[in-house]
Parts: sequence; structure tokens; C-alpha cells
Amino acid sequence: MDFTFSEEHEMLRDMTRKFVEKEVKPLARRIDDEHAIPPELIDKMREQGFFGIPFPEELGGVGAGETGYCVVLEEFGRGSASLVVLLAAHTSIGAMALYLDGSEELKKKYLPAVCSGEKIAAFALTEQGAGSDAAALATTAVPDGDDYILNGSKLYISNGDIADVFSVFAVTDKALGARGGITAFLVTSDMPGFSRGPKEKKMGIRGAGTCELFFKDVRVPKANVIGQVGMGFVTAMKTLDCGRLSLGAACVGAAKELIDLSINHASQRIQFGEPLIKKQAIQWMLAEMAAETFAAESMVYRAAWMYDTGQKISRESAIVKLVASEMLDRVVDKAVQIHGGIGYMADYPVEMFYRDSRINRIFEGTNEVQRMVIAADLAKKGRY
Amino acid sequence: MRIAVCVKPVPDLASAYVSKSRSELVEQGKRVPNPADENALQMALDLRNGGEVVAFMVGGEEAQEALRPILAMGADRAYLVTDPLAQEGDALADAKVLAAAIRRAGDFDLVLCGARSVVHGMGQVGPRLAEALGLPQAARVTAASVTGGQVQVERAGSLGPATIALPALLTVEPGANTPQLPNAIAVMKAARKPLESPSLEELGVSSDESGLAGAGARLRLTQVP
Repeated sequence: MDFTFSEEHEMLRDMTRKFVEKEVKPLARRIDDEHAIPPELIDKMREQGFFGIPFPEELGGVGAGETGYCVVLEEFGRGSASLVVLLAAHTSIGAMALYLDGSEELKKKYLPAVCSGEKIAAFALTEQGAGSDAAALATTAVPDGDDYILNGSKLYISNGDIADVFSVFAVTDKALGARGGITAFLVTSDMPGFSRGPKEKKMGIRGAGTCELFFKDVRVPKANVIGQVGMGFVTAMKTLDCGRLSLGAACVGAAKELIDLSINHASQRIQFGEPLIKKQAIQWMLAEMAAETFAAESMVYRAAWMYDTGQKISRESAIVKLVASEMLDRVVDKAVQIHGGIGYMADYPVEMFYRDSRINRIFEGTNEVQRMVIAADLAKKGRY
Repeated sequence: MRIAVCVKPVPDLASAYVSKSRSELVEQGKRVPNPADENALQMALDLRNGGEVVAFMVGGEEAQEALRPILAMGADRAYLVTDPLAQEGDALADAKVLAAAIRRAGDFDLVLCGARSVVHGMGQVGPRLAEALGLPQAARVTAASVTGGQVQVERAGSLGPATIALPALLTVEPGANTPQLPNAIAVMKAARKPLESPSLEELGVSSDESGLAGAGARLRLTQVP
């Protein structure tokens, strides 16, 4: 057993941490206030190569694997959850569906520009009537010559405001449903009939653009089918298995940042003649925060290692997502409590972390769905 | 322009602290490149004009973690002298080892060093290395440009500008420039760049002029004021 990160991963962490310190943290509040990520920051992220971390070099990626990608997202989690969503919606679900199941031609055509960040990717599965019940899609794709004609709409799509490339899931055979009736398509924003709704106003991750997408007789070439016709639901589930790890990593980064902020505050704030950190009430909160963070961190990187060594991680990634997101909600609650009044104020970062944390129990499959996935796997195997 | 850059591995001061009870620096975490040496590297990258930049370091096996970031930032290859007999030297001994490694690596137009380290900050390796290599030198350089076989430098403090003939050695003032963060692709490629670890024998340095044996100074005691 060996828990050490490789030299490359250590350097990747170091580089990302410096970038987050210098370029992200000073802008995090502005990103939240203005509900937008400054385009010049996205340009700097492109220059650093942040848009293609897990993908192989021959497709234009960095080749850092899932572990390297989790390291990067953990460090971004310390700075801005809005940027985590930008990177994760792009990489771990938007581009990942194409990478996992796309044909070689399709990957060669689109992934280099996606990895460089020239084109931003997004993942379009959720609909008004198909949230946790992801198979209940109403968007349809009907074959017509060399194309499919897409009609329908997608809801709450992260990066929907700026993405150029979408992995879109549509019904190709209603009778077959999830088992053979759903197909994944690569849709680009310049295809006639594609349009976006206005940006949603949200509780947290306000810089990340979330919006509705509309498809009206959008003609998509058959060459743009991702994987096999009818196998789209499998592609979606495989993609989400992977995405859940990086979500956990970002939660771990946020938790570490909150612990650091809380230690700092508790060391400086004097009450009853001594720093707060001398009080057992505060010490116990900090200890619990650290213990929970360590547990989540351990499982994130163990699962990432499993993934990078070719092991199946459906159950493990669901566990990571479930545990890490609920861990962060408890950690951020304690961080606000330790900070007291200033933790509730919008001119201090803890308040933003509190609002940003809540989405993690909802997106990329609600935590209820994660419990379903875990329980289904337990029932199937009949043992731990 | 072919440029040599000397880099010292130092404790990461963000995680190291000074123990008052033991009067010593307690290191936690990894070793990093000395900050002024990163400024020297950045100056080399700005001046190289398509030429090769080679990094040199004396340190143990673990010092590699301070050398790989230099390769990620843009040095083309590196020499790391890990020979046990080269360790724990002072500026005199380290300059001898570095000079031998630089000679072995061929001819250079410029040799750049950080002006001083964050550890002892004596600023002696650069000038001693210039002596060992028989090069003219300029210390505490804040900016440099090369034209027609000469290097024009600005220097910190009251030293003012100077022009010296190449090949030459410059020691670069901390903060002379802003080292660029390597991008993620460069980080991954750094691990595959050539890194040689010549022995003292290969360098032609005798064991009594390197490491602790070759040091001209002995550290007897450190005290926290």
C-alpha cells in the first residue's frame, strides 16, 4: 500500500494552489456578486491548461488522470465553487461523455479544442420532467437521412450560458426507455434551432451559468452520436460515476479552506480574555471538522486511484459524493458557528461557502439517488 | 544563448517554523526551489532567445522535488549532484561542485544564480562560482539585456548599471521579476525531462574539497534572537 502522490501530482497541486491564491481568491466574491466569471480569468485558466486535466495528451489533454484531476478540483474548491462548477461541468461530465464513449473520429474532431478550453463543454441530461428519474426524458431524436432531428428542452444545465459543445441525451425509442431507447448526441451551439434561456438566479455557485436549453428541429449528423444508438443511458451513468469523484474532491478542498479560516479566526479572536481556540467548545468543533474532512479526503483519492487503475467504481463514487457533500454541509455550518457574527456577513468568505455548499447534495444525482445506487449495488451483490 | 542556472533546494517557508526552544528551523513538508533562484530561472527564460537553459543543483535524492518545478517552468534539463560526499557543504564547497558540473555540461554564455538564499542568505555561492569558473560577474542584478556579446545589467542598492562581456555570471536579486507559473502540460512533461546525477568522481572533484570536508566555515551554534 502506498498513499503518496506522484511528483507530477504534487507539482500540479502546487501550481493550482498558487493560481487559486493569486488569481481566484481575490475575485471569488466578485464572481458571486456579479453572477459571472470574468472572461479574462477563463483565459488565464485556459493558459494554465485547466480544461483538459484528465484526458490523454494525444487528444490535447494534460494526461494527469482522475487522481490529478481530483487534485486540481480540490485546490479550486478552496477558492471558488463557481469555478469548480465551470471546470467540472466542462470536464467531468460534458467532455467525459464524449471521451468515454465517442468514436475516434468524433473525439479527434472535438476533444482537442475542448481540452484547450477554446470550446467549453456541458452535459445536458436533466429535463423538467426528468430529474432524479433521468430515464423519463421527453426530448426526442428522430432519424432523417444522415441526421437526427432533435426536439425538446433541457433544464438547469451548468455552463449552459457559455458552452459551445453539449452532450445531449434524447429518446430514440420511447418503448425501450432507459434500456435501449436513449441516445447521446454531441450538439454544438452553432447548430440551427439551438437556443439558450436566461441565466437562472441561484442560492450559491452564482458565478456558474445555469440555464435552460431549447432544441427546435436541430439537425445533428449521425456521426455525432456518442457511443451506440440506444446506449445513451449507460453513457450518462458511466459519465456521472466519474464526475462524482471530482465533486467530492472539491468538497474536500472547501472543507480544508474552512478549517484554515476557522483556525485563523479562533486563534485571533479574544473572548473572556483568551483566544477562542482555547475553548473546548471551539476545539471540539475543529476536531470534528478535521476528522470528517480526513475521512472524505481518504475516500476521494482511494476511489480516484481505483478508477485510474481500471477498477469499477459505481458504488464507491456514489459513496464519495454522498459522504463528501454531507460532510461539507456540516463543516461549513461549524465554520459559520466558530466565526459567529462575521461568519454571517457577506464581506467574509465563510458566508459564500455556506451558500455554495448546498448544491453538492443536489446536482450530479441527488444524495437520495446516491443512496439508491449504493443500496442497489448492495442488493445485487448480496454482501458488502 | 546557452544559459546555466544554479538552484538551491530550501525548506518551504510557508510550512517551516523556527523552534525557539531548540533554536532551529523545523521543516515540515517538502523542499522548494530558493525563491531568488526562480527569479534567476525566469531571467534565463527571458534571455535565452531559443537557446538551451540547464539547471544545476547540489542536494540529496529528495532535492529532486525542488528541481522538477524548475524543469516545469522551462529549464530544458538538469544536473543534480546527489553524491553523499557533496552534501552539507558551505558556499565554498558547493561552488566548487557546481563549477565542475557546469564545465562538464559544456560552454555557457551566461551563468545565473539567485543573489542569496532564504536559508542563510550569505550571498556567497554566486561570487565564489564566478571565481571558480574564471568569469566576470555582476551581483544583485534586477534586470539584464544582451547585445553584441555583452550583457547590460541594472543592479540593486547603490551598485547602479554595468556592462560586462560574455560569458559572465550574474546573481539575480530576489523579486527581480515575476516567475511564471508553469501550465499543467509543462508540469506533466517536467517529469520526463533529462536529469543527470553525476558522481564527484565523474566531475573530477576530490572529496576533501566538497561537502562538509571542503567547507571553509563551520556552523557552531544558531540562536533565535
